[in-house]
Amino acid sequence: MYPHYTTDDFLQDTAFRKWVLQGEASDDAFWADVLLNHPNQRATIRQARELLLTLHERVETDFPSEQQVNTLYKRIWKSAQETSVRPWRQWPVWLAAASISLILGLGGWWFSRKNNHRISPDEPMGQIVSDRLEQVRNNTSSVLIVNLPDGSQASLEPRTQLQYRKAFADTIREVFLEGEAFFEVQKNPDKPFLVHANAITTKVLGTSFRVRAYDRDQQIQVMVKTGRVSVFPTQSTKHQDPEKDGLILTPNQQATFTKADAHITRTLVEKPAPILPPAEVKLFSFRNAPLAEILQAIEKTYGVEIIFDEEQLSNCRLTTSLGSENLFEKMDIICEAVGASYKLVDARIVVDSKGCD
Amino acid sequence: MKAIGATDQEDQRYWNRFRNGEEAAFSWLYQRYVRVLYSYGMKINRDSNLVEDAIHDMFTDLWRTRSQLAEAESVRFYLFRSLRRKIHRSLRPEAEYPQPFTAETDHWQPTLASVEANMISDEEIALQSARLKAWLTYLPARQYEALILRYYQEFSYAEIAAIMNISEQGARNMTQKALQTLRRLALVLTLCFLGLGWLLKFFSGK
Repeated sequence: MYPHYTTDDFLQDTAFRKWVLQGEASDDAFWADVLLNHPNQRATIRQARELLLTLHERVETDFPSEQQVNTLYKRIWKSAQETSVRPWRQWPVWLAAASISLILGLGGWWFSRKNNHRISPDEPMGQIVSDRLEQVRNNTSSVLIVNLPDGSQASLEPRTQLQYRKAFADTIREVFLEGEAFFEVQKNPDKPFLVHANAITTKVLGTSFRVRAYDRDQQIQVMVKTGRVSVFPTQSTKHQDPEKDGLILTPNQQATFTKADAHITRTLVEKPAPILPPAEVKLFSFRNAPLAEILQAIEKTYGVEIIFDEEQLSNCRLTTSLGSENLFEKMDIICEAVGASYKLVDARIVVDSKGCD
Repeated sequence: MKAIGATDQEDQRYWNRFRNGEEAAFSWLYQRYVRVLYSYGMKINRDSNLVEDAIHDMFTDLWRTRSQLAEAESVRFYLFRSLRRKIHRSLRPEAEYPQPFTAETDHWQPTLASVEANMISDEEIALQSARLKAWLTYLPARQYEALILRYYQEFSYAEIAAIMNISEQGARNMTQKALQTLRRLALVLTLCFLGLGWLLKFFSGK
């Protein structure tokens, strides 16, 4: 039946939905087999999967907060009582007791749940033009989420200070950071987003990344999770445009700026994370596959560049199933299996192999 | 959390208890459905106050008229249809589909222009879910609504037709059209991807 399935058929298939939405490991094997046996359905399955996951995510981002749910219910119940008081009298006592304990129970459940509610400005701020700098300082011991006027978000680590204009200017979005923060920037090609931290500036259009720039540290670091960012010294002695002195970083890359010599170097972050959705990474199993194919899959998953000699590796084949290992552990496993080695050069992985027989 | 693991039979059981005036059952139904209803409402209209009010009115009415309510074959269907009507009734026709939704005839169009913007659209290719999200926002509102009813709420085409006030064939067409747009978009992006790979090879080969 699967060979003739359309996207619609997959989306309605109970087994398929369960696999995508619940992600049981036992289902993986079954669907890996389907993929293997029906390679022409690969694109359809991927599309269906992608659509289903995205739809669910989109629906769930619009869920009300638990507080909203709670308040709304109180409002409903109050209005409902205004015209009909009678039902209360009809109620047996045990029923009233049961519903009170149910409400208490639900209340407990609400409060015990992790509070995901985010701080958001009460009114759209973009309307008022103001030069005044808004200043947020995280004096708590946990991460503080700040919603910026353009919808971007900054997660401030403890002892971190962020300043920004109450209304971002028309042409530029600019924040000033002391300490460490993770940014998720709303995409807007017309208005670059700049993070000034100490002596360096990080410029993006829409992406997520972390800047670590504590005053006491000798180095400033910028780590990219998604998208691309440009990192450069805020002032340059060599070029009129300081951006020319900088680097472009892609996901899982990190720039380190040494204050002493104003030098920027590029490397990979300590623990590169997959840039693909987790569901897709799960399908990482290979049966007697060419090494080049496996390396390309890793390149794609982590968005890193792996340099190798395709001709030299042409006889290397491998059967392996990679799971939760991080990038470097995966590389260790693969290289050991084929007697190769690798090193990091300028944020790229260079594989050295004598080839296989 | 969507279903809190409940079934249609359970729905009916609670529905009947609620009709008998049991608040616990009423609150159970509210808790089970308020999140998906709210989210659905927000897809029809981005005004959260309006959506909250519609949900408030709907549930308040339900409680007040409970003794006149019939047995429900599908509680979910009943609630979705009532909410949609409530929201539409509180809107003037021209405000029915505000931004970012566009009219039925609108298409997805790549609008980025500058070099930097191209950089971002490359990145988009790698980030599939992000791209799909963007695509969904450009999808005509009613197609999007049909997709959600079909593949998130798992309504039948007959139910979608009744909720959206269109024919069953219309519901079917709308869903299929949305899937077609997706396929077309996927093809375009695949071609871009291949082209990019070819270019890279071409240059690194030199």
